[in-house]
Parts: sequence; structure tokens; C-alpha cells
Amino acid sequence: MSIPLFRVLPLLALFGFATPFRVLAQIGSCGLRVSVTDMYGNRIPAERIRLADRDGSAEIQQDAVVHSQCGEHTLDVTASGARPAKVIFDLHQAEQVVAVTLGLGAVEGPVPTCTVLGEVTPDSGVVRVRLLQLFGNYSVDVVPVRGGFSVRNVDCGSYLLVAMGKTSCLGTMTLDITATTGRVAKLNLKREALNEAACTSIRPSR
Amino acid sequence: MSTTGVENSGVPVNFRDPKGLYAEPVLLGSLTLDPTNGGLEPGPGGNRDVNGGGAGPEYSLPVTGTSEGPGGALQGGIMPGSPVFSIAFDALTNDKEMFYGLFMGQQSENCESDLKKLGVTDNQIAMAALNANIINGLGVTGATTTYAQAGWGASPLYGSAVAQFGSTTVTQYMTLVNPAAAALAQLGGSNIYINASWVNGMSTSDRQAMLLHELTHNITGKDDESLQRALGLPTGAASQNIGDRLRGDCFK
Repeated sequence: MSIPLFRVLPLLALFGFATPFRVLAQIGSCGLRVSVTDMYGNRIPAERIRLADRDGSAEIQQDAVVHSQCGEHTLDVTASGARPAKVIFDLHQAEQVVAVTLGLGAVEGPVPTCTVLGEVTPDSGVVRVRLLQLFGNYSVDVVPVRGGFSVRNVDCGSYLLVAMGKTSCLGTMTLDITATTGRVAKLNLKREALNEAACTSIRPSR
Repeated sequence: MSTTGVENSGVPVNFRDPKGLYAEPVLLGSLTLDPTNGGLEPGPGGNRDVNGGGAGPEYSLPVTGTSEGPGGALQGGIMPGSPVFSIAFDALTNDKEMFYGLFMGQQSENCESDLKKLGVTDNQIAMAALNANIINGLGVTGATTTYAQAGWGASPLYGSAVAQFGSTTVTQYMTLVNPAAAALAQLGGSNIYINASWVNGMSTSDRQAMLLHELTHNITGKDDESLQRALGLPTGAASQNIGDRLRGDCFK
């Protein structure tokens, strides 16, 4: 059965004006795929993922490619047992992966946090230490002082530590900070402890 | 609302136990053998200057008093009661049965509004009450069950909980990490671990509100922060504010 267009249009117009939320712009030259994991990279089934851009919002599925306009977006992600996460990011790739890490749900105060403590030998040349969350978006830089450095109150989880020289990367180290180490990672950034090959320069080919 | 549970309202039991019926209270972290149920029974309260700091789906009570001897008061006037698990177990079992009947029907408008915000139905609460297992968090099971298993055993975050809490047991959590924790619900499961001392010190309506709170964790798998947000409550506060809201709206 077909319905005359003149009867449908007023209804569509009414619906358009009555809708309280504008729908996310679904067409654009950019796209994203949302990866939801815990702090250690284990996939977590999200209960709800809401993506918002400047025009509106929509619920989307994790791991599925969603096309949207390029620019700033916000993700709100919830999952059973996890504390809700909100991620603001700039979408500028055709198939950009947005990594969302979910921490344990908090009660009564902060979830126990983790600490990275390190020693830096004088001959190592390390002038700055960069800590990057492997499965999330967090990163922080600290400067060694009097042969040591510390990064406190970070989420427990998996990290990549990058030892930086004045103008170069000196080496890397991966860390899993857990309860078995008392939620503290104690490191000695001797040159031989670092993966120097990870910092080898690669000249891009033409 | 009528109640069928053991009533301790306004009658804080002296857990120094002048009649000598129960175990002596123990200091933070120490353990005594409770002759009444054969389990390892840390005493109630412990150092009640210590407030929270833990994480997980437990029902924690904000501490307002000092710990000068036993009987340090919790916010809302909750005092530690008898440490005997069977008293708390019987009271909560009565509450469970009452919930099963009560939540088969419609609640007050405010209560229904809260339940809707929390994402649970009356029927879900009735069934969760029927299936809930009340477990002694300070007994043998609590001493042999990890906090990660107790809270996140049925959650996809279990691996992360193990990584962060390791082998810490429920008993250790309730005595050493967060002595103000009165109950701990398994997210998305049916188990509820309790510290009998705090439960026995609660009024009937406080206890029932706590049970409803824990059942909500069982049903939804959501943490306290999510429940607080859903109800429009401050998220930085102790989780007792959830029970306080439910008590006012559902158990007046």
C-alpha cells in the first residue's frame, strides 16, 4: 500500500521539529571504530556507546566502522562493572580507531592507583621519561631529578615507557602494573634495560 | 511499610558483649575465632578513622566519629551491632522474602521513579531477592574468596579486578582496606557478602535500603558511581547516599 506524498510530508516535518535531539551526522569523509578494553587490553563488551558531534548524537556499536564528519567528537561508554568513560577526540582519519579503556567501578573514593618509580643512571643520557597508556589515550612526561623519577596516581594497567634523550629516543620498556607488584613498578633505566632497537630511526622511502 | 526483619533500630548492641556470648572485638587486621559460627571473625569496626579508599561494589558507610574505643558512630547514627552472622542472615532472609512479595506489586511513585532511573523493574528485584545468597564476608567463605571474585566474578572486568586487587580476600578487604564496608554485591551475580556487625547495627529501613542497593548491583552489574549518577546523587560521596535515597523513597 502506498501513501500519497502530500500526506507524509507534513508528518515528517512535524516529526523533524518535534525530535528533541538532532541525530549525528552520519555521512562524512571521516570514520571511526571504537575499541573498548580494560586497562590491560582485554576486550570489554560495552553496554552503551554514545557518539556525539556538533550536530547531534547517536548510539553506535563497538568495533563497527561509523562514518561521520571530521572534527571534534565525544564518546560516552558504559559497561558492566566499569566506571563510565567519556572521551573527547578529534576525528580526522577515514578509519580511525578510538581506544577507550574502562577502569574498575569506583566506590567510596578513588580506585587504587598505581605508581612508577625509576632510577636513571648519569651516563644513560635520559633527560625525560614519557609514559604512554598502551590501550588508552593517556600519556604523561616527567623529568628525572637527582637520578630518579616518579609517576604517581595513574590507572593500573599496561604502559609503554619511552626514555628520551635531548634530541632522540633512547629506548623503550613495556610495563604491566598490577597488584602482584604492589601496584608499583620499580625500574632502573640503564641503557641495557631499554629496548634501544625500538628507537632506531627509519628513513621513510619515497 | 511493614517489616519482618530483626529490629535493631536505635539499639546499638555493645559489641564488647558484657554477657560474654560473643567473641571479643578485635583490632584492625586481627582475627578471632567466633564460637557461634565456627568461622574466622574479625571484629566489627576496626579502626573507624579509616574511611573508604577502596573500590568495588560494596556498601560503604561514611565514618564521622572517632575511633576512641568501640562504638564509633557512622554517619546517620549507624553503630556496630552484634558480630553474629546468623542474626544478620536471618534478618536479611526475612527481608528477601518480604521483597519477593512486595516487589511483585507496584511501589510508591517516588520509589518507582528511582527504580526506573536505576534501570531495574519491580519484577527483577523480586526475582533477585529470591535468588540472592547472603554470605558472611568475615567468615570462612569471605576469608577464602578474593575480593575480585566476590565483586567482579560475573563481570567482564574480572581480569582487571584480579590484576588490581590480586589475592586480597573479602575478609581482608572488609577489615584492612575498608572497615566501613557493610556489604559487597557481586556485579551481575547473586552473591552478597556482608559484615554482620554493621548490618546488625542498622535500623530495619536502613538494612532494607542496603539490601535493595545490593540487589541493584546484582541485577544491573553497575558500580556505585553509575548508580549515584542515575539517581542524581553526588558521586564523590560514600555509597550510603544511594541507600539513604532508596530508604526515603521506598521504605518510609
